[in-house]
Amino acid sequence: MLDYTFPTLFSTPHVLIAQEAAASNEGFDILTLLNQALNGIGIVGILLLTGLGLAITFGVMRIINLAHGEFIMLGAYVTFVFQDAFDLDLLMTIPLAFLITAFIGAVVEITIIRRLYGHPLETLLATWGLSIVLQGVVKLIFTAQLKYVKAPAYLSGNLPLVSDDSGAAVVAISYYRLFIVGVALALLGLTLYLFYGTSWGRQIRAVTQNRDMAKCLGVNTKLVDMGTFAYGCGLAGVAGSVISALKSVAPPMGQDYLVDAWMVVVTGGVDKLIGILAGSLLIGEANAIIAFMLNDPLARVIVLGAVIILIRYRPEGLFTVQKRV
Amino acid sequence: MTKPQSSSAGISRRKFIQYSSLAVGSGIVAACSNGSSTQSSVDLGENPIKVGVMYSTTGTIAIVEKSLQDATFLAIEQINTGTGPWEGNGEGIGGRKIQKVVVNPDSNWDLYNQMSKRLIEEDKVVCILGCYTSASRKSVLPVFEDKDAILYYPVYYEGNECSSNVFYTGAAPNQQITDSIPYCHKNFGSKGFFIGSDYIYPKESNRIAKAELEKIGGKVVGDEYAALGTTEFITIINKIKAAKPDFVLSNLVGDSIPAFYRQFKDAGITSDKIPIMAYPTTEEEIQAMGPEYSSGHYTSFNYFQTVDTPENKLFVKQFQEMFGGNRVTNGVMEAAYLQTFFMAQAMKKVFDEGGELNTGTIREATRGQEFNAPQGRVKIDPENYHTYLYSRIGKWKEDGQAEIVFSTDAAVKPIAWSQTLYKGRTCVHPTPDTRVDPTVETGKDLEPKYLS
Amino acid sequence: MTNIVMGYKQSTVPHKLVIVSGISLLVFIILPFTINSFQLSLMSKLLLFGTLGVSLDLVWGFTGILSFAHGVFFTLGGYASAYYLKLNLSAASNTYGGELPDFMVWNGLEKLPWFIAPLKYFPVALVATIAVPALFAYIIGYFIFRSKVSGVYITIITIAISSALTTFFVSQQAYTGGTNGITDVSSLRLFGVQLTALGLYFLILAYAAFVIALSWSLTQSNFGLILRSINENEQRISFLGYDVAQFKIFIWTLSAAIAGMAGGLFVPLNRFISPVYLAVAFGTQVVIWVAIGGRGTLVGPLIAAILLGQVQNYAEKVTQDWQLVVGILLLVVVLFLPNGLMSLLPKRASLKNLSKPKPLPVTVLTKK
Repeated sequence: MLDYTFPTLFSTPHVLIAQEAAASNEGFDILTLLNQALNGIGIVGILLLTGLGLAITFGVMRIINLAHGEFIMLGAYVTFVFQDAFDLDLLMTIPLAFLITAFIGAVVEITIIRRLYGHPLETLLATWGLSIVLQGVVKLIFTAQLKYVKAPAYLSGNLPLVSDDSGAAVVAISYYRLFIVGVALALLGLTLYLFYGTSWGRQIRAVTQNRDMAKCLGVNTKLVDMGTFAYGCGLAGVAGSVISALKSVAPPMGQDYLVDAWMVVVTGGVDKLIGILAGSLLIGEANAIIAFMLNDPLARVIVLGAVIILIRYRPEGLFTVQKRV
Repeated sequence: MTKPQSSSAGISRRKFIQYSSLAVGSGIVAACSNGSSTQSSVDLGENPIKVGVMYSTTGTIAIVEKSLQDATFLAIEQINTGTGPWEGNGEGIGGRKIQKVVVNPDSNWDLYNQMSKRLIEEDKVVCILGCYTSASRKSVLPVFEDKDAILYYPVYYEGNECSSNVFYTGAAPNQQITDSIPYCHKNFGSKGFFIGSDYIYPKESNRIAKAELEKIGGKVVGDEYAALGTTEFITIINKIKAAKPDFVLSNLVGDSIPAFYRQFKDAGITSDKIPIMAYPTTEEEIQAMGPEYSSGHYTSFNYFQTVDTPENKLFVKQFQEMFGGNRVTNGVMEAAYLQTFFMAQAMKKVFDEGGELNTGTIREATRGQEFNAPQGRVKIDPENYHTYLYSRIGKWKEDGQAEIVFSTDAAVKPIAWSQTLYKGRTCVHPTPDTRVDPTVETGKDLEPKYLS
Repeated sequence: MTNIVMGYKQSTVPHKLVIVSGISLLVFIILPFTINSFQLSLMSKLLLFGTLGVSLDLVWGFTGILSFAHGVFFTLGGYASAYYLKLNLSAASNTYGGELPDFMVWNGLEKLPWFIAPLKYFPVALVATIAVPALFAYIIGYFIFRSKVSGVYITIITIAISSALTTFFVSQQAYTGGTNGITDVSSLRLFGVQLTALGLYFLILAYAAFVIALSWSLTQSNFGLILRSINENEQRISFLGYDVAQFKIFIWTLSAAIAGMAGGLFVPLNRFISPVYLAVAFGTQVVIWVAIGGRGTLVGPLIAAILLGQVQNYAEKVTQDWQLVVGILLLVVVLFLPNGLMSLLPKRASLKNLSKPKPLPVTVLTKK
């Protein structure tokens, strides 16, 4: 239905060559749609992974971090370097990516972010400057060329779920996509545990709720800030490391994820970490289904439009307990 | 009103941070100025010829344009030292060396426009080598036409353009599309699924390819575009699966290419089931994605690193000597390389005839230049300023190099308009060029012509 | 109370400000005769970018709304003006003859879409250049400001708008020219005379001066006072009985109109418009001009746009990695000059001080 009504809203019908061609595909098979919905999970995994770090730095700490994409990029380069120089398996480089980007994040927190707490707009500008600098420095070291990261052999191939008569898979998801979803969920679980199950998490929540009070109670707020920011950056690094095998590695790669990560965090709501799961699920699946019925660019426009409307009516996101002001 | 928050540790610590960030900053600046100073360290002698080199070395397009810059630098180096194809011509052109004025427009169309103005008006370069995407060419075109300056443009493109101020040394549609579609139809089957990045080159070239395929009885079963720079292809791959085509025609560009091939294979589609025929996928993208993802797929291009000519062996060897043994060469780089020699030969011709270098003389001298390029003998068409190029199809092997499965015997005459869509339209610039509209409607089919 | 009185009295033009702005205007009038043609076109462009910065300063510096969508308004105005110039290309210079622009022919359009056709006429195009971005801004403004959305969420909405519109313009290639945008346009003719580069510079200068003057008088008026108060304490001003949203929507729409006209003047200068100016990256650039120049200073963004443009132009000559220099500069300004370049000026030279009239006799104040 959408297929015919939507494009005419924007244009006279004879132009949209792409849609006409798509419409000639003998209708939508329910199995193909199911397959698409399943593969949408792959998109959800990437959104969740790339958004998680931002959910910490923005959702918890309220730092508007425009250099988030660059931390993803740094993680990807860490994987590239270790695979290139020491022939390490991709899985082995993930902890290294976490540690190194977390360290860089800590340095950034000490030198830049710390000086700007309470000035969200200045933070925004400073992190934008930082993203230019990080891209520039990485380009100086590694040149602008695309770098190649090898996926582990045991993660290639597909998990077939439904097959047709000839045995060819009709509904299937690639092992690597499943792996991404697995990593994302594991990290989300770990983060939830850290935040709600450990004393460090209690300290973080105490600091974000009432900084002065927490200080009075003997919490080292500076250390908590630094640790939390570094942790968020480390998560971005892991995302970069995992994604690097699916795409390719280049200095501007992080930019692609920035806007999406923001939309995911804002949609899910910033108060509860679990909101990000809902945010990425909604955006990822909506994107996958709409793109299948219409086309990619229009899906993006529609989803962004929906997010704008959502923010308008629920600025604190979908999954936030309404507070009385 | 708001003061910077001073840390409680007081002034000394702030000073320390201040100084250290300054130190880091100046270190970085020093690092980059080192990088560019190597370019001007060569002694250029008296009265060098200023030539603009305009490729982005940062930003999204840098992954392609940096290697075009490298190839151009190699050619200029060879011209200045009288080596490589320039052997026997002495150092420089008529004793004058080339001074390259290098700009980096940061993958930003606005800056292409601004910097081309600067090169022409402030640096007073004689001509400019540069641009990759159609959008960047379109953004500088008004500058070149207003100021009447010359651009050498090394990229395969969608055609539909004939400017008195541009020499097109990449493939016109008839040198890349016309042969590949019948090849697909004959070897893979009649159903094609067309994909591309969402901008003018892929859309226009898919439109031409569609017309070509329908002309010979084939059918387009899908036509999909992904936003420029997208690296997420699950949806498009699913649509391909659902449409069950005999082959995929890919006009993706840049970092979308490695992402697509990887996800295509990950989705369980092998090259013997559905082969991909691509235009912009070259050795360089294959290297970035890993050759195991591309083996068995096809690319239609004028040049492959495996082209068997003595000129090519030399080109590959010298390129790797200058930029490292792990680098590969590709068709766009070769075009960037050969056009520099077209330019040098034209300048030499002007000097030989006792003329002065200006737009008019260079334009007339460039028309009809021939050169033994790595891909074979090529020639600038004196009529439409595009280039006679070979048409080839390569099948990618396990080592990331192509096995050439189709090649014309000689370079094909370029036609800027697809004859299937615009029958009989071509362009002929008058001699000498008076910069009037060169479009000619012949009304009849143009027969393919070859360089003899 | 006294504040309001001062605000009212300030509508009389102060001497110092007249002198300073007169001298600066004179500098800009003499300038084009001393520089080469490249610098002339660069300065024209930077003046326009500066004007765009001023328009953002109106909403960000004075009302506290940080927008990344000002590039969008600029580009919408630009497209309106580009359609006008494209449709007035003489049939001889149109590759395909006839009146259909080349990119529409390539994309299989057979006739001019109804919403583009009227732009062939100058008055329509002129109105559209201002009205289209203004209307778009009004709709967004109405949508956003009449809700509880605030602060950073508005900023995120503007990012999403810019991102969505970029994708949309790129995908509607038949109407917008896709990534290429609209290229190969005719040059601007006013009253039958073709505008030279110098003429265009003065037209742009006049527009920039007009925008500064308009913004100045607006921000010095009572209206400006209310805007500032909204920035400082929105709740209090709404308790005083003002409809805060109304004020925000007005300034937001006005600012978009200013940006749109700047975009409209940009096309005859640059000779093309494309989605590159819609993208978040360009919107960020505008934000940076305002931040570096100093929020709420009006002339600050203009100076910053010119300075940064020149820094970039010269840095580019020294190193290929010039944007690193720009990035570091941005970091340094944010960390060490949080109020922008204008805060370097001695206090008495600030716009606010210059525009103060001579102190009023005490009697006047007490009488009120």
